[in-house]
Amino acid sequence: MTAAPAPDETVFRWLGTALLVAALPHAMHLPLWVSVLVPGALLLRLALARPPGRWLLIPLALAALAGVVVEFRAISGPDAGGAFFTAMVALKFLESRSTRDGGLLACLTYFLAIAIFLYSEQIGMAVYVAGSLLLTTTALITLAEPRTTPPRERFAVAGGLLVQAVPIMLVLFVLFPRIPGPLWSLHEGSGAATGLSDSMSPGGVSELAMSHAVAFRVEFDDEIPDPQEQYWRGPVFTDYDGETWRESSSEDWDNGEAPAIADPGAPLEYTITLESHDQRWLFTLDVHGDDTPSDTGFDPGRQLLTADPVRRNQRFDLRSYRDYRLEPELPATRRVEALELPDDAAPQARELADELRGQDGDDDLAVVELALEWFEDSDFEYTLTPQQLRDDPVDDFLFDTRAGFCEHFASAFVVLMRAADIPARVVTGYLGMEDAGDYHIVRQSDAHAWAEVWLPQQGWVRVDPTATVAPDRIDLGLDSIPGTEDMLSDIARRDDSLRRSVALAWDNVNHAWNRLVLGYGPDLQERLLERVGLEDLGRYALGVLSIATAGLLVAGLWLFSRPPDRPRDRIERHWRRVERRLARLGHRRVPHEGVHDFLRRVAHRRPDLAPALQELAALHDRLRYQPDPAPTTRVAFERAVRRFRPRRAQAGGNASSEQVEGC
Amino acid sequence: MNAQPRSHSPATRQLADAIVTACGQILLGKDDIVRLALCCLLARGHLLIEDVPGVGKTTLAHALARILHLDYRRIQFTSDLLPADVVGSSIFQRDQGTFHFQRGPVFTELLLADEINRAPPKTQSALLESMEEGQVTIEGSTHALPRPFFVIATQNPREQAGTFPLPESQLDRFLMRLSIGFPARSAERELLAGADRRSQIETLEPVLDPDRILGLQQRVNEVHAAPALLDYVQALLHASRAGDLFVQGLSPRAGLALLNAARAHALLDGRDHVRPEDVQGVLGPVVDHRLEVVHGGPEGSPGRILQTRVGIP
Repeated sequence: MTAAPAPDETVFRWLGTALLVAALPHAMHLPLWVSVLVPGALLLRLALARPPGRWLLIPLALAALAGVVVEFRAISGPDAGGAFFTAMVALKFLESRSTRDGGLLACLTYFLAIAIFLYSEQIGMAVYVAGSLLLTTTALITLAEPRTTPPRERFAVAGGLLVQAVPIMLVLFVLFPRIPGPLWSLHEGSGAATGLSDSMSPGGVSELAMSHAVAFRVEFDDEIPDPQEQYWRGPVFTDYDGETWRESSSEDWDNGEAPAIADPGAPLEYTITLESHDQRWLFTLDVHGDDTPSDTGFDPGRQLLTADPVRRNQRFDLRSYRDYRLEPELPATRRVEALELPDDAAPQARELADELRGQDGDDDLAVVELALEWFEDSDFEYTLTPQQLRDDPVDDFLFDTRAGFCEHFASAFVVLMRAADIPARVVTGYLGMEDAGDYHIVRQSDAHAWAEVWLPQQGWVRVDPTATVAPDRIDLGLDSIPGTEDMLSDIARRDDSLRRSVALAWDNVNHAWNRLVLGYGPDLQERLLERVGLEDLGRYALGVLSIATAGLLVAGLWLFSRPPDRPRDRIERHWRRVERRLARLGHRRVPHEGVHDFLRRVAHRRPDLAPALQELAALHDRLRYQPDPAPTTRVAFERAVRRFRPRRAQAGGNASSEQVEGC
Repeated sequence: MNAQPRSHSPATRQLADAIVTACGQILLGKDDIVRLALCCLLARGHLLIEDVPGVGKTTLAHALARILHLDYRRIQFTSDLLPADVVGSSIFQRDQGTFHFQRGPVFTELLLADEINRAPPKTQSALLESMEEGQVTIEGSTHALPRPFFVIATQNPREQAGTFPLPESQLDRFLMRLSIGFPARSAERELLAGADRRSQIETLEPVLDPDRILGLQQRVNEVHAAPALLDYVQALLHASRAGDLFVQGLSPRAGLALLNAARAHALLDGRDHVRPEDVQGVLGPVVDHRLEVVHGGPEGSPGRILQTRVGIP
């Protein structure tokens, strides 16, 4: 057997380009030397126009293996495996010479192109990968039919193939059983978490205000809360060491028991689409009800947490209350925890607290109100660029600089309350949201911190000292604060500029992508199937159904793409009417049966039709096979066809069961 | 029915019927074979009859010669037959002192080449060349064969020992290959009960003569083949070449042969134009000996396979 002839070098140029395009986005996580190796190997192979000898290939392969082992101390795992795979694909390209190599390269390129979804599921990446698949398919077509068609036509064929694959893709996407959670939890710990942090010391939140990254998006089922109610509860800080706030480190906390809420009012239902932030935090409008989504639970501050860090955009159906009493019975240990202050912290604040307490004796609520009044009267300034705080941050802020943002206010207020013997804590989260049409956007720039104080019978009550100092921050949002105009996101700009429209449209697309594509998990699939009445199908049946449907689609496409059996001219179109009418009576022409033979056969069965059939046969014959038929012949033929309305033979006739005879 | 008289030439149809009927008295129940043989003659082709001995090959040739009023000769091919025994040779005339060409048996209007596969290839090709070219060239001088010139060759498919089967390229020179086959039961009874067929041939009245045959051969060329019909013929040729049905597809010469035979078929049916049915009528005899079904291919004769694969639009 002789080997297949080596394909033209153009084929390798196409395959090389496709490979390069597929590998390009991997550069963001690959080691630099792999990112250099890929174009290097490609260029070397194309420059040589043939594979180099073994003397180069084998050492290169060994070096790549060694490089991966040295770099990652492993050969498996997503990062090491990915780097090794990419390097080997590049080397495979270097040694390619035959058509078979080309086919293999195309397959590897496809794999490389979709492997980027391990790292990014953004819509932009999906579009890029689609382009990459188109290019790879075109390269594959070039491999099969080198040089016979111009590149444009090959692109068109590849595009046609991909378009035909879309319905199959959709069926498999919609119907194939969804696996709960991410299919691959491969890149753990990669990328720094953004958003709020698990501790708070003055300065941290100021940087957040600059970031317009989306924290999450919200769709409300019915009612949209007022701006004063748009507090999105995040990490709750109880432990204070004089500088930094941290979450409760109490050993007493029993994971099984959430701080209870009493007397909840009307619930508010909504869905949030959380951007991956690599934390377990889930942001809820103020206090979430006891019916938590699956795989979530509360922490001691009644913050909702997921079981695992959120590493891909996820959707949660939530239900919150705006009227409630949170933890009306405060256990003694928790009370102690919420009163704790370092001994030497904030001496001036303690004095102020004693003063406030002295004015109103035992009434905690009155003390809180007095403190707020004090804030209001003390000429505080809300700014995102406060001065550096010295020595004791709380005293310094309260009595010296008196300029800061939410964190400073919340922290100082909580310290003041604790000094006045009122249990208090800092709650971080987000405040406010942007209207984006059907949904709202909450950005990192909406990050906020406020205080909660515990009052007898009422439980934890939200107190936002920032609101006292800068009420516009709450009512109108961040842009009401002077000097923050440049820090606004494009959508937050309350104008009708093109920039805002474009930003809004793009966010809408992103949200739809998150919601419908990335967010299409088992829950959404179940709901969708319920709607079409397929909810009782097991996972196995669903898998079979999806594959069968996809198979049918393939078969349908195949049938559909066959050249349509169109009549080639008027004569044939009319003749087909005759055939259809006769077929209804059970007389069918075998494809290779001549018109004359056929009509004679029918006439033999149906002598009553014989004259009409003979006339049709003669006219058809004259039009089709005789020299120079007169124009009137066609008219006569068409008239004869129109007139030809055969009926079923009378009972007892001989047209009942006819066997199609060969000819 | 308003068929035009122009499209039909009932005269040729009656003629064909007369010939077939006359021949049918001798070769009982084989009207279709006679008709095809006539077709072959009018299309200026030659006929190969492949059959076991004793089914009436010689009788057919003899009867045709008689009815068509053709000069008839027969050569029994044997393994020691030389080309000169077929085409003739130059003989020295002692009295005149010159060479004189002595015509061989090929110089006739209807030649029965019996058991052609018994002769060595050199002799076979001498005959086949004269069939193709209608002339004989001996030692530089060309001698035209009579016109019409019609060869009926026979070969026995069973006896293969000591034979030289015709190669495919030579088979292509025969327009049609037929086999007569055993007579039907009733025909055989009549044959057994009736008189001697050989003597009956002598009583047949000629229906045609060589001049009229040449005239009919000319009219075959004038039979109209419409574009739709040529489409069908091309589809058949294409189907024989494409796909994996046959070892090798039909040659352009085979395509021309098919069309010519179909023309003759139409003429014998009294028409001035060819229909797909005419093509189908001669398809088997024309293509069966030119095509070989691939190993493991479909059942049936090549003509039948080809016909069922190509639809008439």
